[in-house]
Amino acid sequence: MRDKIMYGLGALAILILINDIIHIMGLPDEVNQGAIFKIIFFHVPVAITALTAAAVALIASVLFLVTRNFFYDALAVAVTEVGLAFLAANLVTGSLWGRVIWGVYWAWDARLTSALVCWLLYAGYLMLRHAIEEPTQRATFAAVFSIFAFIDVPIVIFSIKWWRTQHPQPVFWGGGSFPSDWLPYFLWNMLAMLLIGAVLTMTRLRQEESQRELDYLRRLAHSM
Amino acid sequence: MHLITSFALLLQPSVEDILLEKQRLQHNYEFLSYGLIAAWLILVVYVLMMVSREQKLKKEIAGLRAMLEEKH
Amino acid sequence: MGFFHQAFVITVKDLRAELRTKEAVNSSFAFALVILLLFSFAFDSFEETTQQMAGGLLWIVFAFAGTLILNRSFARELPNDCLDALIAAPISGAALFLGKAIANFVLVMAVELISLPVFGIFSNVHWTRQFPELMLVLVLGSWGMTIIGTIFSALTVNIRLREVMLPMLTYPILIPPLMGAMQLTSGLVAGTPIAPDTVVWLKVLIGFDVVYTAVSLFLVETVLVG
Repeated sequence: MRDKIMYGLGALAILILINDIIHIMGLPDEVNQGAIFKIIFFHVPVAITALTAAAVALIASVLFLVTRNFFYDALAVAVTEVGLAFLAANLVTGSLWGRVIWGVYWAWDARLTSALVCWLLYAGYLMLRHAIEEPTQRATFAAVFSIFAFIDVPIVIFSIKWWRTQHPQPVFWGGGSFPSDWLPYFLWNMLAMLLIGAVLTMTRLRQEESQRELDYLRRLAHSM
Repeated sequence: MHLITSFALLLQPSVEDILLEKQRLQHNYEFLSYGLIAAWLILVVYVLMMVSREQKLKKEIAGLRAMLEEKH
Repeated sequence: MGFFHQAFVITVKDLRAELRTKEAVNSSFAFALVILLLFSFAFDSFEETTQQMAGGLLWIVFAFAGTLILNRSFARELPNDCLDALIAAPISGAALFLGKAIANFVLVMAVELISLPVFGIFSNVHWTRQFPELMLVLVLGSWGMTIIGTIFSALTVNIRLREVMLPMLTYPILIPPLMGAMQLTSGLVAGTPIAPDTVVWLKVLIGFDVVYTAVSLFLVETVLVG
């Protein structure tokens, strides 16, 4: 049943994406930035998916510390890993956009830098997990680290913003330049990305369960 | 009158201008496609990593199961 | 015994243990000296640009040297199962953590205060012109570094590759306070006092210290007991 839901959601996401990409291809170029502006249809949804992943990781970590239920630990790893993949996609698209508009791949701009710092923080989470053998200790320490990392995200964003900023202000509200008739396509893309993120997380979650089964079988084999 | 028409001619974009603009736009498209390809590639690589891990896990579980059956 | 008295006892114990061997402080200071020496080769100390990034260089030295002290903080308790005894002792994890953090803070500050004049001589910087404000930044930055370093020292004490993992985990988290301290220090050693447009960095430092001290004290019990 769970597999069926997963495959269904995945297929739905891909259908939405294909439909949306065809529509977006048909849109005219943006006035100031030309074709490259369309990268926003991808760039922003993956960023929001990554942020959602970080928030879910925080909730899962807190729930693990409260309930000591290993399901939440598995959820935290799964969602962190998927979030990292999405954040990497966000960084790459952002840096290619910067190459066209700013002339350089990496401008040490506030959001680029804070996204990179977040990426490093959550990569540290995965490395910490790799380094600890004992499951309970691994889950506890990883959860604590996840909470620390999540608290750091707003501080990082605030301080780097103060440090230096070139990133365009959000174009969606407050008199932004985003054409309002393009918004539906953007929102559809966003839904598709969130769905893909959810499907990937579920797949990873199942793997984490298989891993636990494997560990159990190993112990069993060892004890005989 | 003659002056005005020559001004109007000056204001019209020249062939080079159009070519330059076309080049700029194509350059734009080039980077857009790079960006999208790179981003999708990252996600696809991640999915492939996940698939390979899945297969490894399944194989190991099957192997251990078989071993346990044998011992019983 | 009250909470703060318990923390104080731990601080005194850690400082006494450190004073007997001096291994962490000595190695940390020697390391700081080596990095300062390398920086003198890498950057010409008579150039204007080197003066401008003096604060950045200084805090890189502090971060590297501080890690050496923080790494030892909990690892020192591993032989003879001292750590288990400390956890089993009738004091709260928060008191144990606070005591250790204060001891580390004293050691980190000591290394920093010795490195500072050496840095001033090597890099040709008159760092004493804004002395009280510089000390304030030093205290705030070092406390942020110590609190994160101490809790992560507790996290990584039992794991493989401890020496590598600690800096990998702490440096990304420490980016905001280090950035603030670097910006402020660069201005202060150049002789300009903290102005209204740089005071936001002071707020970043204070905010970071307060938030992470609170979170660490709250979560440390979970980390220690497992």
